[in-house]
Amino acid sequence: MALDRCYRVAFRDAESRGCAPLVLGFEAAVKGSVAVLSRSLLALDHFASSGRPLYTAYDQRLHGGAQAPPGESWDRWRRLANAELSPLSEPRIRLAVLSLDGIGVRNYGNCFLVLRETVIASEASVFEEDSPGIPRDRRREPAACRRATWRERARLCVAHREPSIGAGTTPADFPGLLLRQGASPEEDRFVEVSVWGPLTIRSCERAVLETSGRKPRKAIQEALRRRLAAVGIDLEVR
Amino acid sequence: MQTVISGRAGIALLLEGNELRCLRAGSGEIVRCRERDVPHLLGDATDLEFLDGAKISEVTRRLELATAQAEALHLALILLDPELPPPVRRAAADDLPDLLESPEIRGFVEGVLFSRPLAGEADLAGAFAFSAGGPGAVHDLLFRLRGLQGEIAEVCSAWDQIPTPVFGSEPDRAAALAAAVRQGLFRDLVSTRAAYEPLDAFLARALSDEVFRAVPNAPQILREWVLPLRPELESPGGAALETGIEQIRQGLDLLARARRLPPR
Repeated sequence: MALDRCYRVAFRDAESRGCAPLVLGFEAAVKGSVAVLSRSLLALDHFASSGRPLYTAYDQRLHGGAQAPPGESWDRWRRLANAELSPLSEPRIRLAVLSLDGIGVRNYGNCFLVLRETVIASEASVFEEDSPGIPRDRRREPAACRRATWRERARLCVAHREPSIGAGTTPADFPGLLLRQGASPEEDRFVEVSVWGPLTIRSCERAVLETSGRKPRKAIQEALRRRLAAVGIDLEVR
Repeated sequence: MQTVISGRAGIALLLEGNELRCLRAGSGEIVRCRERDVPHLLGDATDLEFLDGAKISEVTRRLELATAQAEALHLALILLDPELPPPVRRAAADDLPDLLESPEIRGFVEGVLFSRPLAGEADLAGAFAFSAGGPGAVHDLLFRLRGLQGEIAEVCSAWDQIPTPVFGSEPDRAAALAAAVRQGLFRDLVSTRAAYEPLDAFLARALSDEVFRAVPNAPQILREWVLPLRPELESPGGAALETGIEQIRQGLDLLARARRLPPR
């Protein structure tokens, strides 16, 4: 209900500014948005090889190192673990971001995995957090207006991104409106996707590797390509 | 400053006061981040290393090292992976020698690979073939890995026999295992067994390892670990072994106290 109210307020505002058609276009685009995980190349190949005894047997030997050390001074890290959002904790929720072009947050890694909608649709919710760069209007954004089911994600995004859509906005701007890549993680702005339950490489439909920056190791890149190909996924290298 | 490093994710998270920052391997640039970024930045990584009070220069060094160690281990597994085609495994064999030149990287890879017997699917013969003609570091690693499988199985089995209450709980057991593997104790014990060296030397080294010493009940864990490897000492010499461990521990404590004394 709160989300509907926020959506209607946003849409009326767009109408009053003469931007309603653009906002509708944005909403339609976001209905086709995907959930994307960002990882390092090594982490992604590790994910792709999980389940293989050769890899998991050795991984388990180091697994216990994920616990924060004892002592009060590490309590903050334990609090992060207790939030069930990080590898410090199990079981956990996997976090992705909404994207229109299959590219996730670059500050989180240069490999992007697009999750299959059929796998996550019933298990995912989306969340928009306040952006420090944009003053929050408490009348328009009650807390309940910040979370939505996967199917309602387009309405949530309209409720939050509508003020950024103006007369000069074009459809080419939509990916950047939904996911703004910052110079640092602190400056990134995105809509977070929380996915419950296990994910495997078969939960993915597409993978993109961006090679700008640190040169990827050929063996790991090719190993990843082979593992993805084995489950019918192409590795797109940009 | 507290730091959490993941070589697999290629990231270091730095917490100082209320300020959270991160450093990506190879970038050299430390940037601010938020708590909400932490699970995204770490992803699925479980190879976490925790540092307290390390300076930025040390964090940078440890991050680059952890990243290279994680890459080297993964390349070694790619080399052993029979499901991957020859060009990929050959590329892994080509990349490994440079990494294995570093004793810290080679030690880490051996530390992990020597911590349990090779999985049945590992293709050692293929790995030898793909590394043939290249620098000796890879061949040497594979040769040792093949030759030490018996000792590795013994040492791994001895660890598995340690009752969980000795560690405290299952998570404590997992944490102690990770510390022992990361600090190269499995490799050291395997090498000690293979060389027929006395276990006391291994115990002294293990007890002087600052990371493993911080594991709760470390002396008792070590005692239980080596007991099956010295069955002749179980009874009545088990007491002698325990005395030996206690003497080593006391000696190390004395040494540590002496180091804290002001110079005369």
